[in-house]
Amino acid sequence: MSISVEQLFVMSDVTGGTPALERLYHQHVGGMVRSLTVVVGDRETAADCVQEAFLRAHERWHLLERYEDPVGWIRHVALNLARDVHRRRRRGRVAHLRLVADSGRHGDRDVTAEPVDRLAVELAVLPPRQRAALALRYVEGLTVREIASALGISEGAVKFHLHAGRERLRPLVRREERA
Amino acid sequence: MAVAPDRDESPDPDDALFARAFDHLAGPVPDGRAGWADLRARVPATPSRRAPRVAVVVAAAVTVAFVGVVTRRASEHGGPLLQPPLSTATSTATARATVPVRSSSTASVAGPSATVPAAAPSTDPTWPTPVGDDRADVDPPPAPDGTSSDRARTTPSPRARGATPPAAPGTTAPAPEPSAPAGPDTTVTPAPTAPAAPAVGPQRLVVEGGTIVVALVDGRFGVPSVIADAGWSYEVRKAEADRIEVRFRNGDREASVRLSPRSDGTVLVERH
Repeated sequence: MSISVEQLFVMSDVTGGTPALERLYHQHVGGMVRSLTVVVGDRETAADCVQEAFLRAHERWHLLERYEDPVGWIRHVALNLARDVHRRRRRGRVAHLRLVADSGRHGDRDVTAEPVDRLAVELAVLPPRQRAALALRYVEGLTVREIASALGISEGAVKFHLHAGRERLRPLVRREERA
Repeated sequence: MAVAPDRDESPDPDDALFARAFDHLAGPVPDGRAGWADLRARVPATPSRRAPRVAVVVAAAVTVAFVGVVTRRASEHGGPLLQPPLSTATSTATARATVPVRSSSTASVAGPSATVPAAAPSTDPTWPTPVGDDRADVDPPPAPDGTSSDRARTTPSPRARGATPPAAPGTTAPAPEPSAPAGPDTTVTPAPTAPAAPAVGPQRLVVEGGTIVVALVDGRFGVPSVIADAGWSYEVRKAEADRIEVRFRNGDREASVRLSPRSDGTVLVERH
């Protein structure tokens, strides 16, 4: 009788690799959630994306543990998930943020009690890769090489996106700093 | 958060300003302990996605070896290399002697080179009705003279449905048993001259949630493989000599199939 297929699955359900993943989880989950919060503009969604990415890593850990940079893979998956979510929500969120920003500009505080954060408004309308590159650089403190690995683009492209994003946000950041 | 200088990039004069602004946007550092516990709790819910590659390879090897043994035994006894699809039997007598083969009332496909006589429908109510057209899924048996019967599968002749196929000129195909006319309500008994094949290749059993391959060899039966449909997972609940139980699950939906061999050489299929 050849019924051992399922038994093999059960027998090979090895969880010996998870301590290493658990260590990586505790080491990186905070930074990933914070940087994805900047990318998607919503902490809960960011946490969900990171959690899903680690779940996928757990399922494939027997492969990932041989990778040179498993965290890069996890971050890449989380960013892809976040990008999909952000793509679906982008229009509504930008409209909402603009409404909030305009209400603050005209002194109309009754529109919403949410504090005006112009940086969030500007970030929401940045191209996704610029936003992700800036978040990874300034929230997680990643190098250009690490950002390139996470985004799946070249280092030159990362430098371009960082530069373009900074130039877009620089006046606002300086003004906020002076205020 | 202070951003460490990157050798690959020249520092920006406003790096500190950007770091402060983004740090404010990113919010506080979350607590990862609860998250890890949640992740560990979610993992057992998807056992089928966790199968390591080694297990998959070993399982495939076991399946191939099993099929190889069955095929060799079948060829040693002059039987078909592969069991015909559920709707078709190479010989009604052979089919009845080993595994019950349920046929639709329209029976087999007969092209010009068809070597397969139409099988009468099985009267066994426990054998599940095949889903869809099995002829497209299962390879037909090779013709005894070595000619391929692909044509019978790929170019079915509409006129042959429900009719006894004519013998193809120039082939060595056996003529249909005169005592076993094809018809929707005919019960076929084995012809006394037809030898019973001791081995039968795997039979596909399509049920809700997936496909179970059942093989019956020398009175012993086994399940070489189980294939869950998209979105479904499966588990083998019992794997005993006289009973195999497979359960498919898709969220709250469950479909359980119990297979047990009977003394007459057929397999009893119970669905729950």
